[in-house]
Amino acid sequence: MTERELIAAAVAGEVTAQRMLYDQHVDRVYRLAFRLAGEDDLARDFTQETFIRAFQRLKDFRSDSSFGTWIHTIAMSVSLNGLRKVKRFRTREASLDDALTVSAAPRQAEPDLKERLRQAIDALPEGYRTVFVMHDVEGFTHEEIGAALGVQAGTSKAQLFRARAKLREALADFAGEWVS
Amino acid sequence: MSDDDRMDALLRQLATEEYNRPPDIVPREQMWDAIRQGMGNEQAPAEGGQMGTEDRDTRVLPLSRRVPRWVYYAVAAVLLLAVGIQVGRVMGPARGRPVAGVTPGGQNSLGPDSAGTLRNDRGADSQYVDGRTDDGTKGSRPRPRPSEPERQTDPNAVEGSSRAYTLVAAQHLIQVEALLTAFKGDLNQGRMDAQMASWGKELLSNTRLLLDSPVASDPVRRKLLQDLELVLVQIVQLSPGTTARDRDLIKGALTDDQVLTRIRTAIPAQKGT
Repeated sequence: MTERELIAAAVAGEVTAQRMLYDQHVDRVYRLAFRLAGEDDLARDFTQETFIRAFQRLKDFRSDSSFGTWIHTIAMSVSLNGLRKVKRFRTREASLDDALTVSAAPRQAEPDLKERLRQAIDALPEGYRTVFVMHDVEGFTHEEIGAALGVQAGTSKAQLFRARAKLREALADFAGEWVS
Repeated sequence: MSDDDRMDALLRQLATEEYNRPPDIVPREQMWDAIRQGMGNEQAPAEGGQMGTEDRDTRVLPLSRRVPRWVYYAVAAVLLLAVGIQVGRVMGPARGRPVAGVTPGGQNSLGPDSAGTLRNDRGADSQYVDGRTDDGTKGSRPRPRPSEPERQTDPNAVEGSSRAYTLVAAQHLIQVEALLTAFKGDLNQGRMDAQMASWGKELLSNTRLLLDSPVASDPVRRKLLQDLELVLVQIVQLSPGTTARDRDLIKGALTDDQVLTRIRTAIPAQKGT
């Protein structure tokens, strides 16, 4: 069954077709949601909401892009909006503009590189972090990222370039031993 | 390979292994059950062949997560507008004073075409204007009505009615401001929320209703509402395939006409009256 036939069946309300579409895409959607949220509960919520929205709007889906691209667009919208709401209630998160503050912290205070890396990524501005996670961590192409975020592939490349530069800056005190 | 490249590669590898690493097993079945329940199809049989009946951690999404927030805003705005208009109709126009925007002779004080120009362009939505009579029933409302005697009521009632309209207009402008601010934010980030058009459609209808209400008798407010109508029409017509140029045109209209600034200026001014 082609993807188009599968979508037509899912639009007609066939649960089997919906389940097949779900099985094809859920792993990647969940993994990305988890990478962005860092928590299983949130990742599940975002994934569920993504598929609910997708199935409810499936009749509006136009085949000028693949279903995978389309559902990742929804997933990114759901995840980023959800995270913004969550962050409002959580003060423990580092300010989005404080990426450089992390680099200024003395190394002795946070000797664990993994923890420093996590903090540095978390402290990236939202756009940089999203592109870094999608491209460098989850292996999306710039074209896929552009489609999912509604930006040009070139914009995605530029965001990734800046994200990497900020991370290098934030972890500069580790650079010597890494590259040697 | 430069030092930067080497460090990037190491960061990439470390991030892939360590940063928010998802579990190896995706909780497919639990999420699928929650999705089915969230879609209100819990009664669907196990057609997928993978839906068992074993005890699972099923997570029902609350209503607030299934219904987009803009729906609540839109319903609230429509209800508020309807109440305001109903209050205005019950209280009726002033005794001895012309209906706002209409001269005693039944002519629109802003000129014969000042409101008609836009109305004639509205197409299917024009039923909001022409499809109702004053008693709320559907039908053809003659406008203007030179032969009808002026309905005249107590001036205090008119003042109350005017306040109700003003309150409704202020609430409406707050909603529009929220939409335009969100829309502008999306524009700056180069994306567009699909819900924006639906939200805009509700507000467009309300804007048109207000244009036909006494609120629009104030020339400044009328101009603002007309500008809002044009901007909202453009937003409603946006689609995922819309070009960047179209979006830039809307952005230009927002900026050039200082729509947001004018709304923000109008809101406290109206609340204070």
